[in-house]
Amino acid sequence: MENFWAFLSGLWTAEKLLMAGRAAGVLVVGLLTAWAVGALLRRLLATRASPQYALLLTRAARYGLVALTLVVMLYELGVHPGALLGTAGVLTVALGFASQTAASNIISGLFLLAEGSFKVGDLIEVDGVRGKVTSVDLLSIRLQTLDNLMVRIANETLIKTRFTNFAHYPIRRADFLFGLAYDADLKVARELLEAIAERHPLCFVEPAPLFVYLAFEESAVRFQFSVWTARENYVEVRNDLPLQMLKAFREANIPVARPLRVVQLEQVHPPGTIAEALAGSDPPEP
Amino acid sequence: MLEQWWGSFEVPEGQEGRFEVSALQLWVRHVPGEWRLKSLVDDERQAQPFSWYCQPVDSSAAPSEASLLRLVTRANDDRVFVRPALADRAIVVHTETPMLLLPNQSVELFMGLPLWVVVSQTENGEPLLDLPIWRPSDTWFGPPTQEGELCYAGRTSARLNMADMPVRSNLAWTVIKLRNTGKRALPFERLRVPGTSLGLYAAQNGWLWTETVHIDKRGAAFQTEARLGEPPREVAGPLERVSRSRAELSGTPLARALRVLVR
Repeated sequence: MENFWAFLSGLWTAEKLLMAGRAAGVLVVGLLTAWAVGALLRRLLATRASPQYALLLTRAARYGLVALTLVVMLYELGVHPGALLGTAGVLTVALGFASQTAASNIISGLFLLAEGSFKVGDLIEVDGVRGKVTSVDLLSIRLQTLDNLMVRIANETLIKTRFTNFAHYPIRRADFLFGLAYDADLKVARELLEAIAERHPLCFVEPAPLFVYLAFEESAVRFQFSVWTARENYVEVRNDLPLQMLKAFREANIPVARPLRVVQLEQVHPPGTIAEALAGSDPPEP
Repeated sequence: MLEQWWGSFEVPEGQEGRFEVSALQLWVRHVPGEWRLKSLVDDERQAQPFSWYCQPVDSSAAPSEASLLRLVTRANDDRVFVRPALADRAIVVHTETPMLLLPNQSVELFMGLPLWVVVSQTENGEPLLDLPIWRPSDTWFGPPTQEGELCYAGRTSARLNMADMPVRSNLAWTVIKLRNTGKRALPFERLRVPGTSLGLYAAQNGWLWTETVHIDKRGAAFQTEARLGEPPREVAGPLERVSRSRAELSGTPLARALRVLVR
């Protein structure tokens, strides 16, 4: 017990208290500096860089300063970084096995950044999940789905999986597939569709609308009519045009295809054979 | 001869002004402490001449589909200012047929650019409404669909003769002087003109004109530098400045060199 108190009182020497005070001071100043530098960088980069790069640079600066603070703090406490590196050698092997996935995610994240396939704010679809990229972090990205859910996707998944970026190109093509009855006037139908696209201000004049024959099907001749529009107007064009198409077809009496079945009845047995035989026989007993 | 439709218009309190030019109709209602502006574009009324009159508020019957803007203000001025402007994007105009300009030759083209109506409470002031008289269709100017520029498609073709130009209240005219300074013939069928860099000038017959654009095209380069010249007084007669360019009004330094794309 006396040894214990002696040990404790040995810790509370003036020199050690001073050391602890310096270390605490370094920690506080370091953390405050990291926070301030992060805030300043975010403000500076707000108009000079994309949100993605601003976020990454800010976090890199913060994490870097925090790591430096910890090293300096440990140095103040008498723990030399060299000693840490020595002991780290043993831990590295253990940590390496444990953090394979994390390392893979970090490296995948760097590759994704370099590739530039998407950025913060883009609407993407990964593995059936569609959402806006709200942050690109070291290990994962976060999506805000269209119904306001947060989905986290590991960077490694993005590298391995096919994903679609709806915001990469500035213009999009809206495709409309439809079938017309075989007795419809296809030339008139095409003219109507082209007139609708010409009248709609959000449908591009160039690239010009596209009218493509697809197939002769069972009940219809199938076509595709496509128009180009600015990406931000895609939904409006997608919703407007079908209504106008149907209205135009109705007004011009152009029949839209419906599933059609023709039933043909034939007399298989000639008269005077089975029918007559059946007529002359006794009815079956109950 | 076209009637001048720009300037200041007085709408006393309790009255509604009805402004109409080509396809655009505006209802400007002045009630205590508030201005209410309604607008409607009707493609069927493109040939409608300019008209303006005031009527008491109670007798107004603006259609329900007209868009409404309410402006709350304590200003006592009964006037609103209407000025013409060009589009807020570049405009692509086609020639009637694809053309081939031989080396060391030049051509003068007349291009009709769609007009916008800008309504403000002070002359050249902050716009309350900024609408096209006749909304042109969007178009993409650029070889691939991955990069390029969103523009408006001009509804009239570029013309070689001034006599072929249609008389319309919803168009301003630009003279493009294109010179082929290269050694090969220059094929082209469309030009992209940055309307935001051009101002507007009124001729005595009511037609609106912009500065002349001079283009020296050398080689097959897609992009070429162009210079803004003076308004075409030699073809339009005396001209009076009506409106500054959007670039000037927004404080952007006026570049005498334009980027005009020729394809």
